[in-house]
Amino acid sequence: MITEFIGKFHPLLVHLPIGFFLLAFFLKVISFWKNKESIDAILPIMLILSFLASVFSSITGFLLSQSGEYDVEMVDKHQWSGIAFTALILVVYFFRNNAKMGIVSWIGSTILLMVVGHLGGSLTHGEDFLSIQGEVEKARITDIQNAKVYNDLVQPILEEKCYSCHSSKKQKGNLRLDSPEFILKGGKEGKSVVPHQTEKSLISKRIFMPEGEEEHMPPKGKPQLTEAETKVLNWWIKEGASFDKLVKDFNQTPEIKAALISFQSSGNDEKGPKISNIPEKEVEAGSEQSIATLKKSGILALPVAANSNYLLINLRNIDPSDKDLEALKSLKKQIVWFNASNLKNADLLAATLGDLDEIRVLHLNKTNFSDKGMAALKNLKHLQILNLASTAVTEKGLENIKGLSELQKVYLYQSKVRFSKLKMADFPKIKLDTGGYSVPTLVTDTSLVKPPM
Amino acid sequence: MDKILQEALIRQLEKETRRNFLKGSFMGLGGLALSSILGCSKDSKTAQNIFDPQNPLAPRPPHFVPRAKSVIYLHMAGAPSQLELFDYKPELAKLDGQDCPQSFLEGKKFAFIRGVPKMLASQAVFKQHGQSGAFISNYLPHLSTVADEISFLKAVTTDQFNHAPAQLLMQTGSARLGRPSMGSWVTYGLGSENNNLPAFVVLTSGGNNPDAGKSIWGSGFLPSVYQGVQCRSEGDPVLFIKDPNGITRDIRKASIEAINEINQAEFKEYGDPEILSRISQYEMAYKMQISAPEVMNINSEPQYIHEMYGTKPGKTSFANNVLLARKLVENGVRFVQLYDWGWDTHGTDAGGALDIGLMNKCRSVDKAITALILDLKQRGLLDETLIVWGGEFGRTPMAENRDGKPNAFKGRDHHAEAFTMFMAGGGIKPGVSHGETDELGYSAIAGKVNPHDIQATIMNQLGFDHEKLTFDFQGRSFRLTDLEGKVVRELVG
Repeated sequence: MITEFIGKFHPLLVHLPIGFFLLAFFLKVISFWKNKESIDAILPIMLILSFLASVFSSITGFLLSQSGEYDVEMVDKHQWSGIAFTALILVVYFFRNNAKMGIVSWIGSTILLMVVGHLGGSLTHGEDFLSIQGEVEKARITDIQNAKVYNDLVQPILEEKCYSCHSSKKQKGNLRLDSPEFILKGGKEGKSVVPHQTEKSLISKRIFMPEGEEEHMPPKGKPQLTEAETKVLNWWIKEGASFDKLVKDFNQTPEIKAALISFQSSGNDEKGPKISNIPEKEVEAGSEQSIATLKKSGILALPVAANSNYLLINLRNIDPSDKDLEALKSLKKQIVWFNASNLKNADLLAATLGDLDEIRVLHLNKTNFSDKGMAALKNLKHLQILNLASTAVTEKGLENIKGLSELQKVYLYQSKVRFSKLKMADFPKIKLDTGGYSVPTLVTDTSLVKPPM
Repeated sequence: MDKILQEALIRQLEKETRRNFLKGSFMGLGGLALSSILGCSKDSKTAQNIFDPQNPLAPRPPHFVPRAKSVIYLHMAGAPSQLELFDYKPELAKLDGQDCPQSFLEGKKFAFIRGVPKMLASQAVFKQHGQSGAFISNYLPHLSTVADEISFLKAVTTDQFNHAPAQLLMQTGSARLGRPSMGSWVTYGLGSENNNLPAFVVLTSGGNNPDAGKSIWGSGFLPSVYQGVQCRSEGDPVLFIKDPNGITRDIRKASIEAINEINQAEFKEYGDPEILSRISQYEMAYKMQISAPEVMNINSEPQYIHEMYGTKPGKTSFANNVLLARKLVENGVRFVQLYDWGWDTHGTDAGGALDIGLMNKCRSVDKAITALILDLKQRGLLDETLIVWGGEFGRTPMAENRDGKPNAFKGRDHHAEAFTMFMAGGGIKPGVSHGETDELGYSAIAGKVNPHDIQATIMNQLGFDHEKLTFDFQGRSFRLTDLEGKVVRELVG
């Protein structure tokens, strides 16, 4: 139809009156300061252009709305505000040099222009297009077998990938998919869903077409269904397109089972201890002089990441001098990971460590660190992982860290802790890894399977 | 007058031949190339990730806060059969000995299978293990006990079905030669925390180097200082590491200093960054003479550790290499790459039979890998050490019929469409199984993961955005994952 075709130029034409009129408005504002005469000379032409463009936009807009693909109520608002704007341009034209009426009509029509533009934008891009919030995170399904096929799987897919053209906002092909009744009713081209008969259901047909085909859905350029989503939609139709059954009520081939798994959030949400834990708040950069002092001694002081000022310290087997200890103290706000493993005299470090209360991860393994030093660790209120493997620490030393609320793991392999004297109940939140694991030697470990003679 | 001048000018221009241009621009173009290598984007935010030719191995922070500090990559060269180890397929057993359905063969290419092969049931007995309920077969009795420490990728796919290109793809991100290996990229990005040991060490076992040769630990177009250093696990870790008789440590030091001075002068003249690589390698070699024999020697490990790993000092074995890997990581080595050769089970001989050779290969690695996981754990190092295990592709659910005739032993052909890998430690969520194959284990149907995704995940754990760790070469920014790669979020939480 030729009228429908002409209507399709509306989204193109609408930008002309917007541009013309805004330019005229800005020129008018500028004219209060300078070039008044030349601007006054050009304004009538611009306003007439705006008016003509606006009239053509309105006509094409009306033709486009006849396609019936848009929400009637919203089209109505857009249409009448658009016509009002067109009329207002004439008002501006006649009163443009009148002091009072002029200013009112200029400002009024500019505001109206914004409103019309926004309403039009909502029609094409969806009502929630203009919002600062990003996508709302979907509720995850924890038990897929007890999920409702339509409510928990099918409807969210339709909402994410189909509603933008087939819902209250727009009804392309006269099709809506935003309620069971609409879904079963179908659209201009036929039934979108025929329960049990995927070959007659347009949804199944179109989602399985190659993406290049004109009739493939979602159309080229729009977010596509994932493989699993395609399979689940088709499976739902094949199994009768029920709107209330649970997943477990349906027949499931292994292929579908695999697809379903991808909708389920992994049950294992227990997060292992993170060595990545650094404070959420960013910190100012540490003293460059102190970092240079450490570097000179061969001690590693490095940002934990390129985008962070927090530091990791690795003593690299070097006993720090008094100067180094001073430097470490001056970096107390920045130091979050500290590695002192293999250090010859770790107890000397204790007093300094006690000051570094931002430390999250502390490796003291393979040192002579002892209960004396443990007293200092009491202050490390953010400590999460403490490695005391191969140290001289005993169960008495561990008393000091009982109260550390953020501590998650302590490694005690080959320390002097007597595990028989250790009450695990004293450390309810802390995982004490006592190590000493072994792997038994099986006969098969050292024998070979021989080929039959 | 004007005419004469113009003619003179034209004559002069004609003398600017190609040779002339090349001669004149030798320094000019060289300088351009050099400045792109040395100076690129000094002011940009990523400046600390561009390598510093004066000190190419200086430690550098990654892009974001890392979960892992080092990687131990256990590559089973030859490609172990997922159907005998992790991918439990009871349906396949029902079809044992029947003709392979045409749908599996149409349009497919296999390395050796011709005509219509028979389906082959798994030779292993499967059981679920641990709280995670992971399927691990009786081929790996030790690993089964630590099922809850590891996470599986059950639907790894690749696009190469021959060993060398598939290994290259897995380790360098490209099936063709010339790209830097994963360990080289990591070293380029992070430098080394250790002055006395290389940052990227390679250990091989199984009697042969992997088919793709040393290119899979090469540095490609990255400066060669980032290439993997292959160490021997028997005798001296590096050949000629001891000073020859009559040469004292002082003389050795003086000679290396002299060589480096000459090299410095050479660098000033030509500006070739490879000269700097050479200088730093001389320095490293000198330091390694002290530290390497100590770190790379498993003799000093106590007896119970040898029992745990199943190691026998003095021999070349995968187990010895695994123990060495732990020691290296403990001493700050970033990337330890182990290659164990001999997993190519075609069934042409007993060594390549699923029920003989593969079983024996499993016995030679099972205890050591399990010990590595537990040993790193008790030392408090598993949290920050990422262990990766896998081959370069998988094996077919069909028995191999070389040239259309059944093989003498039970074997499977190369299979690019589905295989299993696993990861542990290094911030990987334990006890997860991601991805699934169809009921016969032929193709991946959910949670597909390709080598670039695995590389992206490894880089992610080390704190890198794999799309941003790049190196400009021949006018293009190259990266490990080429133009692909998605971090497997299901595993990293």
